[in-house]
Amino acid sequence: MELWRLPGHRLRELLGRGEVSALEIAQNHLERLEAKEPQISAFLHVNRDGALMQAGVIDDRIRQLRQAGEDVDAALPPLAGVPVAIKDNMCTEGVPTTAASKILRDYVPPYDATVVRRLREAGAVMMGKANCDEFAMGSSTENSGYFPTKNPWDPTRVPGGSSGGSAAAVAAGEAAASLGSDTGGSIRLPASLCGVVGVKPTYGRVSRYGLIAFGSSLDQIGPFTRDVEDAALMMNAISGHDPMDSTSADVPAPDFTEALSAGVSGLRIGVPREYFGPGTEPGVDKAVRDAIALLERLGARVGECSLPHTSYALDVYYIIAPAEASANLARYDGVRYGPRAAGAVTVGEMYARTRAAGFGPEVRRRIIIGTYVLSAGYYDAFYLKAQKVRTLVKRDFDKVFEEFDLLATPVSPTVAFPLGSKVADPLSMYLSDVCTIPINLAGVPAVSVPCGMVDGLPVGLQLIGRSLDEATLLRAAYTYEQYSGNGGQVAE
Amino acid sequence: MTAAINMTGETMNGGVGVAGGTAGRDGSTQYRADISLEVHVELKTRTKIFCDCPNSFGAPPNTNVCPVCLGLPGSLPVLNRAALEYAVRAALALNCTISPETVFARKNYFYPDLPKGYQISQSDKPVGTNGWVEIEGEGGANGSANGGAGAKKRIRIRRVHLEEDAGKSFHGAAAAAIGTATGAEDTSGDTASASGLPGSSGTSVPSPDAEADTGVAPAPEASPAGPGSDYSLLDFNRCGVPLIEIVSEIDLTSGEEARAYLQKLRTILSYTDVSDLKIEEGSLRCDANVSIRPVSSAELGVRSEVKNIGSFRGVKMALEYEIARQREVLESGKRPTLDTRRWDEKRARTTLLRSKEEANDYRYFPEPDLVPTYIDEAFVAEVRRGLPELPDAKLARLVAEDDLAPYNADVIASSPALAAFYEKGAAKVAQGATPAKVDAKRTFSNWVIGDFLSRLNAAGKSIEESPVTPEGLAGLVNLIGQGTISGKIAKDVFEEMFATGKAAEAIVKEKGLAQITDSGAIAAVVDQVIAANPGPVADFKAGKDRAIGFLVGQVMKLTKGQASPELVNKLLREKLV
Repeated sequence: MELWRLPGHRLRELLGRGEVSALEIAQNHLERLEAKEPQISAFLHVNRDGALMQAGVIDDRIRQLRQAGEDVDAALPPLAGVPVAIKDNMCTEGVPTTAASKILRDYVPPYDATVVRRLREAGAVMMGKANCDEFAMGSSTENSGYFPTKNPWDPTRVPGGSSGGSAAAVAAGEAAASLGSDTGGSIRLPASLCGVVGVKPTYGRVSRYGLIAFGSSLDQIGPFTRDVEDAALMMNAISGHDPMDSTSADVPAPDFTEALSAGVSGLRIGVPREYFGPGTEPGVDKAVRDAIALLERLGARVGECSLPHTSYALDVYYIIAPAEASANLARYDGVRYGPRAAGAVTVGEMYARTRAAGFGPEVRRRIIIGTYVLSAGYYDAFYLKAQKVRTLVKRDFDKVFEEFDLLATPVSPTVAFPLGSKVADPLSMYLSDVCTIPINLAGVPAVSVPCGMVDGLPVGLQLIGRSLDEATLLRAAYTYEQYSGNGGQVAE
Repeated sequence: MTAAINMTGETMNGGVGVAGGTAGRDGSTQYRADISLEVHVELKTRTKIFCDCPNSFGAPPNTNVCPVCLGLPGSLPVLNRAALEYAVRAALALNCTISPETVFARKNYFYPDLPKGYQISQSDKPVGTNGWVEIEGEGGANGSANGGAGAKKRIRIRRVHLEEDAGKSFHGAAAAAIGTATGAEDTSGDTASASGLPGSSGTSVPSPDAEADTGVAPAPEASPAGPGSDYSLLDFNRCGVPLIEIVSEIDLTSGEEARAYLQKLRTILSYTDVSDLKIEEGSLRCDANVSIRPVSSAELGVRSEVKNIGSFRGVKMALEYEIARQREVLESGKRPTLDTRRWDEKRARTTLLRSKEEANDYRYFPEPDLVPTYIDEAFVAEVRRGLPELPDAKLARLVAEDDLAPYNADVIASSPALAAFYEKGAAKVAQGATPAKVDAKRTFSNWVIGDFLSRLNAAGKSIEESPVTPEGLAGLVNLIGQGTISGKIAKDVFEEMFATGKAAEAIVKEKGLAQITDSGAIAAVVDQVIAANPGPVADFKAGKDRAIGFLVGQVMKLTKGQASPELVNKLLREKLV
């Protein structure tokens, strides 16, 4: 049985009914993983023994429950036995975590990120650490310090980034679900390009404790899944206040599965014109507009709207994110962990050599930009101005959400592009995130849901919601998925 | 406010360099110094500022650490409410306005003992602003604009902000000495470090070097090729210990004023009970900014910042040295440069750490991992209610209500422990003493700051360890007040009390030290003395009043000092008239 084809909630169902064991699920996914990895390279570290052990523990528990005459299905946690991949920028106790950077080669954290702990508690089985752009900086996963990940739908193309490994692993059936992080589109873009569901929750909805920081005021962890129901289950597991993260919202998270099937009738969906720019490929434009039309036929009220400060978002982002990154990455200095460059006489030399050898070109570029915009004499003109414009971008969203419940846009102006095609041109690479970045600046939630294929390559529909209203977002995505038939696909 | 410094090198107001030394030409240019202090105070909260590691001094290296204070990838800070409360408490005691919204910022610089590569501190919106403390003005004929001796001078406090401490680095010989004895260590970045060495190994890194582009201190006293010369050790226990930084305005004009200001801060803060305030352990640290200018100039001179000041005396000495050094620079026709200098207490001089060109740009920006903290009025009011009577108020009250001499009141109010001792005891003398309670309190205060303190110091004991309780000392003073013993006998009784811990009454009884107040018994001795000293008797009768002193002394001698001197005097006069 090709268990790897099934979404997480189906695997959980079979496990609860005793039709499969957790070990069978894990082994089946590991076989798929081993078959696909030579082609896809989604993982930096495969947690083979750990996964099998976790599965064994779940099976032991099931045996005990059965012996005690208890209802196994009711007693098992919601993601029991579900194989998941974790983006390599989230700390996993005892399991290597490098953020795809050479500067953290062989680093093994002594603690679990809050999301990792919560997934373990929900019974998920960790298949391994997914590749990504180094420190989540990039849009194609080609900036990994180790190797690029390939798009499972066409291995000559990129999976998107920065959470490319997490998206590709789910798209290829190497894991039923995964976690990524999204600072400017790093979940939604690869979800779109790999044809899976990706959720960027509201800033503060999911704890960042244990997420290796890139842009602290923008970073947010979210799930990749093959259907929206799994996305809701993953959101249930990871959401909610964490006393270890001061920026996590101290509000209870709802059960995201509950309202999924309530339909879209009466929902007001805005279509911001700035998101359908001239760079949008016709195939993408059509797929997204068809999806919006379907939502309208299903009862949503669709209207055009405007987010006038959209055109500044990219500039603002490339000031704020590097500024925060320049400080966040200062700790990688060779003093306490990671490889230290040899031969330095002074500590200054040691820093310089270690960081020059450990960081890739894109990371170095952003550290330099970030240091520059915070420097004396430039702070007001760049960082402070950017913060003010960020407020304006945020207000755009506040304003349209007075009129609309959701916004619908493309995730990416293009489908997956060929490997190497944008590496030499950072600006064209940055433009991949033009539709996703404003959402991070505003802190609101968004989801990428597959809305068809163009020339065999997936296209994603981006739905954007009000702050902390992921439930409405997931309900619309679920409704669309049910009626479009686009859910649950696996790349052969 | 003006302190003039005469170029002839005479100390005009607060001292010209003790170490700088060179007397100027006989020129008439007078300079004044402009000084501000940045004082770091470690808060003695139970746990650290952003994690729940214990905040304790002297633990084995790298044992009080966790992912948060080690700045491990992915960790995040969470503000310790107690640290904020302590900071508010200190800021209120220093007469600051508390910001309704306070914001943390990242202060970016590289140093091996700063594990995140930035310090979480505050830039805009510190906890407190616009405070002040009063010090004794430098009175007398020194030309203080504040007037004569005893005038108060108000030193304004620009800000009080909250931040985390860094770890400690051990370089060279100090690194090699880890595990054996104490050794040299260094001033890290901007949070000057303390002395006191832990007892096992830390994390080793290449020694920082003065030539390095990080602009940090060279390893002091590191031998070029000795053990520890090619590595440094790091102890991260101190990382995340909460600090407040108290920044004064440029209101200080001499090393002595700076010393007095620092002493005053310490006294006030000792009442708030937010810190151990031990300079030796680094829980109180001080950096000074100083510049000089001709008194006629309205424009501030070019300042230098002096770090690594490790004592109250050091503040005064370092500033006096710096003032003299800058004066020499000016006199030689050069312009001083914007330097950061290190005070070397042993050699009594400052040495250059870095010049302006190498200065750090700290690139402060708001800390995105911490949300702004709102401090509501109710919280401030609650903290304010919890403050004890502060030293200035206490001094004023002791003078006004207990009629203490200002000097006595000042000494007593300068230490919460001593003040508590005084007040406990004073309550007892008030109850038992005759005739005037106020008089008794004055006497008691003399005993507290006199015999009591010197005996304690001689024994090397703290007030808490004193074998004589406040009630015990009050009992002794009451015996004097009641005429049971003389002041002279009381000193012996006190010694006995200190040695044995016994009550004064018991000692007096046991040793039969009570004054003889029976006039019959004394009269017999008086007769005896008159008979034995015809010469002095004749002198007295001839009008030499002073001769009676000799006769009183003879009576006291024969009664072994136990006769009441007043009574002896009275009886002698009666019999000789």
